[in-house]
Amino acid sequence: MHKIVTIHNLTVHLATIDGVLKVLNGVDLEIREGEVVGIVGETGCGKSITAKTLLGILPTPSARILSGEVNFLNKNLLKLSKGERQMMKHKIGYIPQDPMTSLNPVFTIGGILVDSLIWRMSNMSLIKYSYRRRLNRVKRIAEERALEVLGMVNIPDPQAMLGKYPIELSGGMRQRVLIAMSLVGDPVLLVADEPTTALDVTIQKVILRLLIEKIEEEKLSGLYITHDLGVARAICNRTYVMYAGTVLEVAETAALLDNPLHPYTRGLVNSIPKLSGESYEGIVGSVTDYFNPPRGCRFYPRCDKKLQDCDRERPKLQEVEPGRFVSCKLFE
Amino acid sequence: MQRKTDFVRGCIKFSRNRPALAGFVLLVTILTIAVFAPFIAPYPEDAGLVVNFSDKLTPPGWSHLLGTDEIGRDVLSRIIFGVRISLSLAGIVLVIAIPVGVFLGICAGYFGGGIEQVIMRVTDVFLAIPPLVFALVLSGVLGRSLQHSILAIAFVWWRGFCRLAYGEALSIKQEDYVTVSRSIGASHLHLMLKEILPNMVSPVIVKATLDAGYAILVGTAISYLGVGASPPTPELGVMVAHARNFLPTYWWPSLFPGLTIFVIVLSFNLVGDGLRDFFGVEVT
Amino acid sequence: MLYLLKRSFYGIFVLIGLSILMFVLVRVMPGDPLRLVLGPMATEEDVAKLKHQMGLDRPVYVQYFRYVEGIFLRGELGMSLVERRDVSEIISEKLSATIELILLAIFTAIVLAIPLGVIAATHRNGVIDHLSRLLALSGVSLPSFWVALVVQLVLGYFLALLPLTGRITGAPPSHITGLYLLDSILTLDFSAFSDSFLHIIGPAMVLSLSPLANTTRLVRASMIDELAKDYTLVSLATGMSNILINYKYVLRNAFSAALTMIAYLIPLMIGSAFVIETVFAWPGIARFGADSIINNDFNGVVGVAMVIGIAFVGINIIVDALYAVLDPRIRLER
Repeated sequence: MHKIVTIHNLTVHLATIDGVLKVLNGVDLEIREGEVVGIVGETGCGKSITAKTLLGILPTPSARILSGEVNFLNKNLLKLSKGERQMMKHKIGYIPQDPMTSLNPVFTIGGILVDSLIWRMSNMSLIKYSYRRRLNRVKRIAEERALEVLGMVNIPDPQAMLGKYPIELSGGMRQRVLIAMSLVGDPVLLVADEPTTALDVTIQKVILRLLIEKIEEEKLSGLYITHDLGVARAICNRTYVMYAGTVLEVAETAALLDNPLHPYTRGLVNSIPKLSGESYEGIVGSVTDYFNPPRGCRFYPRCDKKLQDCDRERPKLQEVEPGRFVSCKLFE
Repeated sequence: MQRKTDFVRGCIKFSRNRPALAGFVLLVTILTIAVFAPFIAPYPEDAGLVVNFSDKLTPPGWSHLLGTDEIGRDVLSRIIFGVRISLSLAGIVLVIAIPVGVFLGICAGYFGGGIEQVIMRVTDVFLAIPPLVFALVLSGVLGRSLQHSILAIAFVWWRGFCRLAYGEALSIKQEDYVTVSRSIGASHLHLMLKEILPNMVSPVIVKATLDAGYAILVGTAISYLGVGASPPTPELGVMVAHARNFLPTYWWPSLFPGLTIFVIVLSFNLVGDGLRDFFGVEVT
Repeated sequence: MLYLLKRSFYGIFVLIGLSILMFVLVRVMPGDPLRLVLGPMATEEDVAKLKHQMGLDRPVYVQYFRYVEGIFLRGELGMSLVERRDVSEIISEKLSATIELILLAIFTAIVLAIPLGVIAATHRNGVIDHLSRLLALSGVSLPSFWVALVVQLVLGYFLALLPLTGRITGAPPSHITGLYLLDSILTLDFSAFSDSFLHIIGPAMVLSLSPLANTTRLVRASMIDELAKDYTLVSLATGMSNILINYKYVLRNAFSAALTMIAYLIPLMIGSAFVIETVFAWPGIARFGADSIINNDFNGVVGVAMVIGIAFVGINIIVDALYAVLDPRIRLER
């Protein structure tokens, strides 16, 4: 089985007015062919940044990659030239979080899709692009493909949709368009950053089902970011649990949620209100200070199962059972 | 958590903003010069009606750092007094324009309806003519003198503050704390003065700083054209206009006053920009 | 469409208010212009005759109505007391000179400001960024009459590159639009072209300084805003080249703000033109306006002010229309 993505020891810092935020601290992640990998964690734990590093859209100039490898299809993305990096972006589709702000308001849906396609067809050359834009033949091919992907996401009247502006569409419709946009270039990997968070609950289910369908149909791999454990269970084969820029636990989703090993994961799972009416426990403490993260295990300040030297050095990810990794002294 | 308070953050930002800091230092220097003009100027009497033909048109040198003009007056001293005049102009204009403009703007925004329409329409009519032109016309109407040009500029300037205050009042009016006060039964005057006004202080300060520079530009332009101050007043615009006749050989009586105007306005702009970042407001 | 009509209506209202204002102001001007025109030897009779001739002995409101009637029905703006000609004649003669100057200045400002602003925004803290900031700051701090003088001195006198004053030295090209540059190209009159070009560079440069400064700043700020938007991220994720994204997608959004600024800037430029045209002896209406004020020629002043007012209203309407074209959100917000 191929490994589509291998991220190894990724460390990223963000420079801000108040200081340097150490957002990612040695992250390891793997996505195999055909599987959907989930990343769960609280807001700010580094899920989005990991995805953005993969996509190549980290905020410049404030973001700095200090160390690590990001391998996609056996090439280290961080070491590629600018041109090659841009070429790789074709193969990764991005589904952003907020459909209301993710579509450029002054262009029609058709305009955005066709443009994206013609750019791909022009092999990253600005000159070829400007030339081809004017050719009717090229435009027709692009339009056909655009109609095709719009159909794939079950949009009722694709032809009419081409001429619409984002402001004329509802949230759910816009999200569909965004999914279509991610599929338009025949990607190998889809990266979805909490795509259903900004939608109504009923629409969420529909979109989720659509995504699962497409991933299966097109035989794609996926990286799905969410803070909703229920969604993770529905769509992710394996799930990573992140906290304060580190990976705490990895496992097959069902196993992870039914039998969490790491104290943090256990806390997360227990926080979900249950239908039986038991009151749920939260996790004490507050979010990490990213300016001066603790030296040892990041979760140390809030952990209720602290051991002697948990704050001395960070525990490594150990394979506790086949396919399950935990980063915790309890399991060493 | 290492979050500093907003004010401290603002101060750090301002001091890190080297141009703003430089502008601030410059501004303070200029203000000092203006206030202590008679004591700083090497030849204070040259600011007035003095003739010294034997010294006329000497180039910059040790006895006259910036040279002398065609009547033999020390350029440097005249510039120092000119700075005082320009700064007073800016001060008077703002002192008149801000209260009037802000008051009218708050009224328009707060009361809405008929009052709003009347005030804003009048402002719009005034806005249709560029400030320089309008001030020129007014100066011409009132009669040509420095005082009249100052009044003319003040008359033109209130409209900008009116519009600013109007916009701010409109948005502040919607804020919760205003609604709460109103429901307790606060009087109109109380609401306008105590609730709305204090919350628009920062954009007004930023605009005032930037406008001070702009008002000086307009003032000197009016004088340059001959519609404002007239000789022998050491007004910077007049000095440039007058000395024009002696270009290019005798360049200093014309060049230095203009350069001074640039430096004054520049410092206002630098500080104003820094303040804009400091307060985090958007002001055109 | 309705939107545009509403705006035009409002514009007319502004013009009416303007005309009242100008009328009042100018009648209040001190100094007896009639005497000035006739000279110190004029008798009471002469003054009275001129007064009657110009209709100045009628009651004020009658004067006002005649005046308004004159403007809007006959395009009459009264007689210039100094040049003894119809103000409207003078203005139509000189209008094209000012229009040409302002157009060139705006064109220069925009053409330079866009790349400067874009590069400054995309290479924050780079050389161009600092340079453009410096330029922007200077542009709004320099007194225009002084810069004009310096330009005249350096480029005109010391380097002898440009003529000092005036619009053209030789014969102007045949009149098609009144814009010398355009006319000389259209009539293939190349010597007239280079002649007028050399003459116009100086004043246009000085006039463009302020709009250049402001627009660069605005483009830079809008671009920075836009670059942080979510939809820009999405475009970046598709692998498009930065140049394309910047100029096509981001700029489009940023430009609307720039457009409003430009509309706001044009009246200010007309103001600056009063000074610049005077320094360069440019034969435009701004210089005529400045001269009228200095000479207490109130018809001239009013005439110029009305033209400016009309221009202002007209520009606003055009910009509103353009805005609706560029930003579909406005169009579709029925």
